[in-house]
Amino acid sequence: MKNSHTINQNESKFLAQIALLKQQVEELKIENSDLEMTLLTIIEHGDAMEAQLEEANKQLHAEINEKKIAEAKLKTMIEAVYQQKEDLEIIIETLTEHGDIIDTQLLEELNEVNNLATIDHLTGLANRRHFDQSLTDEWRRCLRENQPLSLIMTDVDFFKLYNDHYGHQMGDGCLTQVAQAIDHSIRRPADMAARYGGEEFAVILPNTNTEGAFNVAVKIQDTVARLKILHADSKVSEYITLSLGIGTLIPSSDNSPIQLICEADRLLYIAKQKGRNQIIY
Amino acid sequence: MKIEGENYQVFYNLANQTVSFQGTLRLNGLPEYVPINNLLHQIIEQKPENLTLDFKNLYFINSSGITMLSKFMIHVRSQKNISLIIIGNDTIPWQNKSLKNLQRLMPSLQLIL
Repeated sequence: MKNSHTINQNESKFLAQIALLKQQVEELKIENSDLEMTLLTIIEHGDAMEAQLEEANKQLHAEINEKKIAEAKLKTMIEAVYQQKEDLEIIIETLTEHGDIIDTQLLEELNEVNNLATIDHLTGLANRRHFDQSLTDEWRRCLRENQPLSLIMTDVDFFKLYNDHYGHQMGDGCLTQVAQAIDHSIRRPADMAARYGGEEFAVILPNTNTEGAFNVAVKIQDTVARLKILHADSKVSEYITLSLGIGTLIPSSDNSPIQLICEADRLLYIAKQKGRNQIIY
Repeated sequence: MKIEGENYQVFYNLANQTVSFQGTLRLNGLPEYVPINNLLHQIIEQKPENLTLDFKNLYFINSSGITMLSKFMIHVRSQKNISLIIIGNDTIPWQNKSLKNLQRLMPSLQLIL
């Protein structure tokens, strides 16, 4: 009986142990399942993270590439802009220098045109137009300053005969030499010699009285005489000579430049009438 | 191809691929230079290997004209495969400096003065 009781006790213990073990197995199974679930969650989370990182990496690479492309474009644009800037600087410099050269060229052309408009082509003296303007200007100036104004009108004696004898080419040469002689005989900046027309010349002498004008006329005569231009058909000399008339006025509201011209011209006429090669004042 | 005005002539000789400029170019502003500019661009469109611009007998060109030429130099430079020669006359005041400045825009061009 005792043995049987012991066996039963052992069996009970054994069964209790089995029950405990079963419970432990169940608990372990639950733990295992939980662990598997956790592991799966971790794996899936890792995969998701990896995918996210890969996506982020791709985006980053794309952004880097875009930035590189943009940078290259910017570099190209900067180079183009720099080239354009250099080109523009050269163009501005070209235009500036070209403008300066053209200005100079135009100014020279203008001076040439002005000279053509005011200079007698044959003799190089002032032409009639320039003479008229200068006489008016000097008249006004002497009027303001109450100063005398003298005018010498002079004619080459027997010039028609000279031309007939020596020809027009020699005639032109003679006029040029006489013109230069007249021009060399005046000294002051305001004095002006002009070709009045044909073989007639005029000399404007501002601030000059009759005596001063007479001295200039004598000097002109002497200078021309020293040229010794042969004139075979002259009736007064074997060389070219001049007849001169000197008019002098103090400009006022009662007279005019025309009057001065008429007076000098009248005295020149008298010089011719009296036999030429002389000065009348 | 030829363009003529009152005081100037611009003509292209295909045989020697030379554009000759003659007389005085005083056109009024860039719009009046359009026909000459078009002529030059038409020649470039034909892609000649060589092109000569002959200014020997161009006595005067105003600022609008030199601007047109400057822009043309930049255009030819961008073509890269055209060899450009400029013939000038150093006794004409504007050519000495202005043609050298054009060379600065296109360093590869050959300038004969």
